[in-house]
Amino acid sequence: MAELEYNLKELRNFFDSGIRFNNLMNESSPMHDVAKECYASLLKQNPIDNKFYKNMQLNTLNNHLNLGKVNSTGNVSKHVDDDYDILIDDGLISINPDSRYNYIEMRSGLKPKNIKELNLLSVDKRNNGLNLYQPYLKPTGRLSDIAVIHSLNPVGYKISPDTDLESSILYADKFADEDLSCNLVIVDIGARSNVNISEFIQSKNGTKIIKVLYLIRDNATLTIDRSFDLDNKDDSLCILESNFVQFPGSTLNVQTQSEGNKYNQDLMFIDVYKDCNTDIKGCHYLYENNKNNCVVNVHHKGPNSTSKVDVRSVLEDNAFSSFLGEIKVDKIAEGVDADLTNKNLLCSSKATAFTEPQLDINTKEITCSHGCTISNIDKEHLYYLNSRGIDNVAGGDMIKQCFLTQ
Amino acid sequence: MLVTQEFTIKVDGNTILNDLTLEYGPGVHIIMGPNGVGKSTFAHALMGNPNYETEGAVEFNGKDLLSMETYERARAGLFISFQTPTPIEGLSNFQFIKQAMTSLEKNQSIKENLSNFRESANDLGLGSEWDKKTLNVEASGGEKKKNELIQLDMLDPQTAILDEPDSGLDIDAIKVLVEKLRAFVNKGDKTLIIVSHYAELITKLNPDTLTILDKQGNAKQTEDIQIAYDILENGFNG
Repeated sequence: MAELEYNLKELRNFFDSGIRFNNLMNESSPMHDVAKECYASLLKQNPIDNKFYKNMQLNTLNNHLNLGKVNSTGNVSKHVDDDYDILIDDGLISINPDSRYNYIEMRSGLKPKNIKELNLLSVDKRNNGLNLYQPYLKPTGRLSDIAVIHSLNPVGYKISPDTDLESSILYADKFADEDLSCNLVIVDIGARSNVNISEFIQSKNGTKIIKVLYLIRDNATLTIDRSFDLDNKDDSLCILESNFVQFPGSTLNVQTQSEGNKYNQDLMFIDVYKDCNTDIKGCHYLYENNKNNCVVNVHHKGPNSTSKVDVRSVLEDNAFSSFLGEIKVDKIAEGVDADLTNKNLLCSSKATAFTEPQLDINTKEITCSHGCTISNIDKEHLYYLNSRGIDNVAGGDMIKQCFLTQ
Repeated sequence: MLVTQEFTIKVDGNTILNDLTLEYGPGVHIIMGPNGVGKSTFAHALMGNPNYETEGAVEFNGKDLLSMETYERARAGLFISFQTPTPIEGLSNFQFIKQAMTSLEKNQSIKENLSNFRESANDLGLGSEWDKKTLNVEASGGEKKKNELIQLDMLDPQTAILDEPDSGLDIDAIKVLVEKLRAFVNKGDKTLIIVSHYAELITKLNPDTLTILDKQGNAKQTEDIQIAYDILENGFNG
C-alpha cells in the first residue's frame, strides 16, 4: 500500500487521483454534481488563500502533513461508543444498538421503533433524497468545500414533522488514521418539531473537516449543545462548518464550548427567514498553545426575526483566538432585532485574541447592536475578592468562570 | 487591636496621609474629615489596596499587617465595607459569600449559609431572590450598601472598617444598620471603625474614639466625642 504525505494546499492535486473514491470520483454519489462545482471553484482559487482566513493563523493547519494511504481498505475501529445515540464519520452513520432509538428488535433484524421520527440518511438506502440537498451546498470558496468534494459519501438524519426528540450525536474518529477526514452531513428538522441535540466532536490525530447542513423547517425548534473533545488536543486539527437555514417561524439555539486544540475552527453561517429566533452562545477556555477560531455569520433574509450572538473566550498561556461576527440584514428584513457580542479575557501577556464585527445593514427599520471587547482581569474585581479572603488563584478562577458564563 | 505607627500613604509618589499614629482597640471608633482628605484611602490602605504605597508600621492583633497580602489580612480578621461596592457580572450574591466563607474557613453547610444569607437579606428589606441577583450589578446604591452589611454579618470579622455605611440607606434601613452594628460590637472583642458624618449613627453607637483627618494629611485621635458634634454643627473650619 503506497503512502502519500500532503498538506491541505496540495490536496487539490489529488482529488481526482484515486487517493479516495470521493464524491467527485463517484459518479453515483448523490453529491457528485455539486462536488464537481466545488472542485471547479477550488481550482480557480485555493481556499487556503482565501482572505476570509486572514486572522485565523491558517499556517498551523496548512503546515500539518496528512498521511494518506492509497488503495487503503480503511479499517474501522471496532470500539463501541456507548454514550451516544448516533455515530457519524466519513460516509458512516449508525445508531448505537443500545440507544433508545434501537431496541432488541434491531439486533434480531426487525425494524427499530420510532423509525418514523428519526430517519438516517445514507447512500445505502434507496430513495434517500440526498441529492435534493445539493442546492444548499454550492461552492463557498472556503475549506468546507473540501468536505463536499472529498468525503466518501454524504450522511445525515431527518426528523419527521411534529416530533419532540432528544438525541446525542458523536462525530467520531472511527477510521483512526492520520489521513484527512471529511464529513458531509445533512440534518433535516421537520416542521413544528422540537429537537434537542447534543453533539460531541471527537479529536482526531490529524485533520478533520466537517460540513453540516441543518435545515430547520417552518416553526421547528432546534437546540444544539455542542462540545469538543478535551482529550488529544495537541494533535487535533478540526474545521467544523455549520450551515443553518431557518425557515419561517423557526427557532435555533446553539451552545458551543471548547478548550480549543492544535487548530480549531467552529464556523456558523445562518440564513434567517421571517419570524425566527436565533440564539448562539459560545464559551471557550483556551490555554497552552491551543487555538480556536469562531465565525458566526447571521444573514437576515426575512422580516421580524431576532438574533442574539454571544461568544466569549478566556485565554491563558500562549493561546490564540479569533472571532469574526457578521450580521447582514436584507432590505426586506424590516423589524429585525440583532445583537452581536464577543468578549475576550486575556490572562497572559502571550495570549492573542482577534475580534472583528462586520455589519451590512440594508434597511433602516431594524435594531442592531454589537460589542466586541478584549480585556484583562480587572484588578478592582480581584481586590474586592481578595478583601473577602479569596486569594488570587481562586479569585482569578472565579472571575474567569463568571466571564464565560454570565 | 489595630495600631498604626507613623503610617504614611502615597499614591503615585504623592503623600495623601502622613505619619499617622493611631490605636483602635475593641469598641466603636469614628473617623471624620472633609471630602477628599483620604478617609477611604486610609481604609483601603489598611486593607492592602495595591494602588497605594505605604510606609511605617501597622500591627493587627500583634502581627505585621503591612507584610500581608490583602486576602491574608481578610483571613486575619480584617473587613472593609466599600463606599462603592464592586459589581462583578456573572457572580451571584450568594456564590460570592459562599466562596468567601470557604476562604475564611467559616465551615457551614451550604444550606445553613443560604438560610443565614436569606435571613440577613430579609432583615435589610431585600427581596427573597436576593441571593440569586448578580453581585452589585442589579442593585441600587442603597442595596449595594446593604449587601456589604450582609457580608459583615456572615463573615463576622474581628475588625470591621465601614466606609460611610449609612449613605444611600433609608430610615428603616438605618435602624437595622444600627441594630446590626450594635450586635456586632456586643459580641465582645470586636473593633468597629466607621467613617461617618451622620449624627444619629454616631449618637446611637456611642463611640469610644474620634479620629479627624485634615487637609494636610494629618490625623488627630481623641476620646472627646463632643468634638464630633461640634463639627457636625459648625463644620470642619468652625
